[in-house]
Amino acid sequence: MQKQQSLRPSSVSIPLHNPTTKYYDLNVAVGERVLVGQKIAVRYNQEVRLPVFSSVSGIVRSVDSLEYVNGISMDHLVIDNDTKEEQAKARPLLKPYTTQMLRTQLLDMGVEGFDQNGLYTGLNFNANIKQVIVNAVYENAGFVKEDVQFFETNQDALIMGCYLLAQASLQQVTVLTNQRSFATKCQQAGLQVRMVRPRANKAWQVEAIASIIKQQPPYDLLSVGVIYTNAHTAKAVYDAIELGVPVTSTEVVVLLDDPKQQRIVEAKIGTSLADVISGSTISSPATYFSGNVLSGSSMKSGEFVIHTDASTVGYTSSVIEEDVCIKCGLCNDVCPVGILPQNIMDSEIREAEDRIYSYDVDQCVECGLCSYVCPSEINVLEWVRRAKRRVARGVE
Amino acid sequence: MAARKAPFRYGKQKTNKMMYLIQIALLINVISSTVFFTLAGFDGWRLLLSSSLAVVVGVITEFVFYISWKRPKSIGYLMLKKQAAMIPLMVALLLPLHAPLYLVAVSTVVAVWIGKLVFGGFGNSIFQNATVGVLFAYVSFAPQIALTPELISQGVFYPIDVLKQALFNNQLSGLDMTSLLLGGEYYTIASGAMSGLVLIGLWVILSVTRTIDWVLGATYVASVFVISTIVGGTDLGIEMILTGIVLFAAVFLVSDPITSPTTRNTKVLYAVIVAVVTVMIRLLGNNTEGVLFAILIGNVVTPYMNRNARSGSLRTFIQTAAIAIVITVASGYVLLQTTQPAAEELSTTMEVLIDETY
Repeated sequence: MQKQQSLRPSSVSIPLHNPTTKYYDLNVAVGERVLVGQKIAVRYNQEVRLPVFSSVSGIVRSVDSLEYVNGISMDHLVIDNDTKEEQAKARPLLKPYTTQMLRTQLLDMGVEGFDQNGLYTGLNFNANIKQVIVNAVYENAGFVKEDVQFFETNQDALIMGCYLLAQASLQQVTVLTNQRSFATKCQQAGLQVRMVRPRANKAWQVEAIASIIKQQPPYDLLSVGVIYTNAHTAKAVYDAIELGVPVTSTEVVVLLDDPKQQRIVEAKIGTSLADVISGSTISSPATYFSGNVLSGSSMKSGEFVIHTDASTVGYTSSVIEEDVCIKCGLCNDVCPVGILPQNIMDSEIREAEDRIYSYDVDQCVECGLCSYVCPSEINVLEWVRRAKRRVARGVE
Repeated sequence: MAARKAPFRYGKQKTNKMMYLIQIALLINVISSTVFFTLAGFDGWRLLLSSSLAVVVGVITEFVFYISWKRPKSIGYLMLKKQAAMIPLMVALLLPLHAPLYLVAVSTVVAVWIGKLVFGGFGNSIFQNATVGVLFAYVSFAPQIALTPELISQGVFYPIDVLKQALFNNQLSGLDMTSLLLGGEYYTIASGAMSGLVLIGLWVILSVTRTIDWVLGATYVASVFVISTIVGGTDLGIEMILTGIVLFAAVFLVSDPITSPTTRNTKVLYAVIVAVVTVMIRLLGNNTEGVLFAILIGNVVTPYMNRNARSGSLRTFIQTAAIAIVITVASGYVLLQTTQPAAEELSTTMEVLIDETY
């Protein structure tokens, strides 16, 4: 995969809130000048207060409502980039660190666990944590060539980040990796390592977690005391504590229908999708998506901007032509938790409630493999999700 | 702007591609069987004729059905999306070579109309469509299926008949295993079952391309072999597999994804049930070939199994496999106990009859 220079957008639109923290207080006014890494707002819900940082230096233009994900609109702060890259003062943590200091610093720097889709959890240290797992493999490995460069250039930062996570959680950190050299370095640093082999038709993340925690992983890993996070978070932990800077840019993998056009872009938080995929030919109708290609979210408009939960963006112009289910059972064979998606779909279509209740639908980890393997391109996962909702409603 | 939900990438398997591959395999079977029949001195061209006729009749049947349903579809759509040619080809290959053309047409109509369309068309059948049509021919047109006097006068016989006779007399059939495997010498009850080797080759190709689930065919053939071996030794086991349409069924009928169960566990059970009934009908029943009845009985059990399967985990699979092995071995011993006295009784009765007559 070719690597591109980092982008210098003329303006950025930084999301001021997200689906988990729905309220925000703005710290800056329109027309004010902000620096890179300056706190511009605080987003919060009843439990947490997290800061929002500027990713460029420049003048605040306006507050616009743009699509965040799945057609949900959020307020974004638009900042005109003066390209001077003036940094706000870094606030590294002074040694020696205590666990409480680490946790406070992470909250102050807005590090809450990135890419919170799929199995990834937030860095919720207050839950009764027994295990921290860091996935140092690109989430779409197996589908596209991986971002090896990120792991090579940031090896030490990643290992230090994992080490700090262990201190902050007071628990063992296990690193999932497919790079032998990285595994050796992690082991030398005293981290647990589990080698994985990412493949498109295998739920390798689920299998790796199951072998570490020695039980079937539930969809909500925090409920069994597991923090599952990725390498970008580990690097952000290192940056926040050792360097004292928040996340202002992220490496984004751009996936297009043509594999040759796939590339990695270093993008400022708030860079518009149009800037990121500019230069690629886009045929219509196109669906934009972010996150995991099997279970990620799609965008109804192209006005989406890069945020910390979007380590992968892409678009596809392929149109699904759903065929009739031929009951081949491929989805049943591939399901990592063995809950028979075809049979669940069948009973959901027939609305056979007593049958739906008798399946273990709540065990579904929404990996999306059932839809991926379906030769008829049926969205099996969507039917299983319906069954899950039906069961959840019934339980209430 | 169009928005669609995840997944944004799909696997390589495509339903249409899988069904085209099965139809290509059927066409290869048509051509190879034609060659084998011609080499053995029969009218091989009849198979080409009957399979073309079956395809034409089958497609017209679907076309008319969709018009009568007030949802007309083009012929191309029916061929490419509703796989209109698949079932007619199977019907033509399952009937004997000398079957009259009107019988081919009638069986195709029954298979396509009653077996397939009445249940909602491609993908919604409960009973293996071709089996429905061919069984209709077996039951309603038995004299036309049976060998004609001309063929008998030429010394032609069905290997499965010889096997059945030999079983009743408690002796070995004396059929040449090599020519059964390679094909070309014997006149088979289904024109598509001429060569065991061709069918095994097709099974391997379809399994490697993951068009059919290898578990079904492999379990079916293995179970038939194990049960027959328990009843009458390895020779009988091999004869049972190579005569009749066991191998054809393993490739095309038992492995049919639409009418077989959906989980790996129930697939094993299904294949074992079909195998047990196959051997049971062959050893105890009046009918010469038990495979088609067995598949129909398996199809009857399939919805029940689909409704009651709950887990696809490895542990359940091991449990089911163990149960399947127990069923196979037990039914082998039960059949051994049942067939031996029956055969002895029959041979004594025959002796008495012969004594009385002469």
